[in-house]
Amino acid sequence: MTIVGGIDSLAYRSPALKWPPSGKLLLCVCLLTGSLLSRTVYGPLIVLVAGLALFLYSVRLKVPLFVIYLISGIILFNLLGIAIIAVTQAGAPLYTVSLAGIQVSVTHGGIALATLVFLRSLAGLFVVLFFASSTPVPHIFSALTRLGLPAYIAEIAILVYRYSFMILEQSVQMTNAAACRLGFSGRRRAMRTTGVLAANLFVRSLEFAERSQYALQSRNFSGEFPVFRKPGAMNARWVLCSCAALATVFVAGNYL
Amino acid sequence: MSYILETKDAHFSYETGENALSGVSIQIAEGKKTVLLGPNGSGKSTLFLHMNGVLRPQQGMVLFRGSPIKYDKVSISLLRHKICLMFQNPDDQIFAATVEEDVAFGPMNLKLPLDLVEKRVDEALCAVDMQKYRDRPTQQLSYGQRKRVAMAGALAMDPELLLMDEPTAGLDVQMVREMLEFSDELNHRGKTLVISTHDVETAYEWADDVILMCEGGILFSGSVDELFEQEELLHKARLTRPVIYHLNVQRHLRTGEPEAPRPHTLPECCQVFFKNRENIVPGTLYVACVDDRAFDPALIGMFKKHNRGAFGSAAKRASRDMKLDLHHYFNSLEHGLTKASRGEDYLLVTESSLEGLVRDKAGQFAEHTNCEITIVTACRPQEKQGTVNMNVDGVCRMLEREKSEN
Repeated sequence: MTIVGGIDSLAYRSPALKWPPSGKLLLCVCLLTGSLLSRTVYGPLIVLVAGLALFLYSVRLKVPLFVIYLISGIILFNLLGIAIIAVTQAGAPLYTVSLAGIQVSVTHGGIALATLVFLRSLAGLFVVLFFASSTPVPHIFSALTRLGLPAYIAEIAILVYRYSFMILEQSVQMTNAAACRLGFSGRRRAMRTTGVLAANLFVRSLEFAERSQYALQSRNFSGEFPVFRKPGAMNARWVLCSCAALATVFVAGNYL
Repeated sequence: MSYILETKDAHFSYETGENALSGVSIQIAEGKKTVLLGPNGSGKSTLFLHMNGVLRPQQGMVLFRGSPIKYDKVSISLLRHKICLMFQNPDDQIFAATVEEDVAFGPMNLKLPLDLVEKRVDEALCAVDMQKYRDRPTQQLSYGQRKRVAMAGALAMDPELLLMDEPTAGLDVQMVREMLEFSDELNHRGKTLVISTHDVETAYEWADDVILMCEGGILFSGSVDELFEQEELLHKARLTRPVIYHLNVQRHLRTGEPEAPRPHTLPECCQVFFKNRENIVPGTLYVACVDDRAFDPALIGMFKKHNRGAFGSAAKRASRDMKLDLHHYFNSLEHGLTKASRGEDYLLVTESSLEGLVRDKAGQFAEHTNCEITIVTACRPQEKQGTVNMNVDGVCRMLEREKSEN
């Protein structure tokens, strides 16, 4: 299963599935804004705890392996980034090492900024993971349509979302079929096979689009995707809760 | 006879210039099971798209209940309410993210009230036994499950005429049997069914009428037996006679026994082809209805393990829920008829609305084999005219009496 498909299935099993998508989005935006506006580590720390708690609730404390890999990859990338931040800030050096004749110093300011950036990125990661693992794509577009997104954009987006899985499945099948017939043995042959696969995938997707058009017509499609099980609508409680979250993080991140 | 759908001299060609339909004139009888038989590329799917109003004939016309189809938005929407098409590949048909969203797609497009949509979704998912998957993302389903969802999507439209394009293609044996049983059930509940297939065995066993297509034209339209008498037509359409039909011809040629009445199903075939060693008195097919308030699960223990089965989607579901120890969950009626014709008793757990279908099938069996099987409705406290009804004690006494007689 692809990462997109995996996260999507997490969303459909999430206990937070029925929460209003626009409410969740507002809460996430407020938490992220609060984290970015913080000058000390306390703000991002609160957001990290909140994001982690929400994410763990959303996955019912069972973090799938692919999400662990995803988080690990992002943390590794972040560590590289903060290492650079830590050694590129001006100030009195705390520790100095010599790398190939170049003096690299870690400063107080560097460590503070690196910690802040690391916590912000980690907090942001978990907040976004909470949103992604609790909100399926059709719910997002349903909410956006309510907020005024034109229906045709939502329609195209939902179709792209649905058919991307089919195309992925098709491409996997075609790749396997090519591999079975030694299509990827050798670099030159692999490149040629990949080109042929890409071209044929395009042709297949056109055929698929035509058949889907027939299917949509036969089921009385009138240019708008009706949503049968609508997620909850946003209410004042969500707005208040989000504003309170933003205020708390802002105060903690700037005045503690 | 009234025809629900007709085409008159319908012509159609795709952009490639190839003639997909060339002068197709057919009639679909209301309330019947019709098979559109033909090899791959014979134009079956294109004809289905015409029947549903997705494609418009370039020449000729399509008539619904005697009136030509109108292709304006309102008329076509009304038509698709009455004629529903289930696509061969479920992935072409399913595009909502979850099972229930997809099943609700058609009724929502009809702008039905939400509570009615809810009811239809529930019924359709129950009918195809997919209610426990209702919140599942569609891309996580197996092919067979997707096929069921596609079927539920069509059923939720509550059509008068259901067109099924190769409904058994790519399914395992159990699912094929279940699909055919379910189609029988739908037909018994009043729906007209048309399925397209190139499987002559399915056509021979299942259909009332058959339409043979080849290279966009109609080679034959009529009863199943009439078609298979004309072998040259089948060869023209790159098809062969069904195995049961072929065996029956050989039986006639080798033993001199009359060809007719022809067996169409495996139980009929067993009865006609293989004589019992001794003169066996046919057994009894006991019918117990799960929706009957007097239904008593204790009845099941009175029958041999291999002599009990469930028939009908609701009965199967209820039997599983009640954890009834039944042996056959598909092909049960066939097993029941075979065993009863061998002198054994068989318990068929079903629902009261399908009792008539069971009796029809037993009647058909008697007609094709001259073997009358008694049908007893078990657990029915009230008497019904023309049927034998008895409670658990009655069934018990009857079984004991039969045992002592044997």
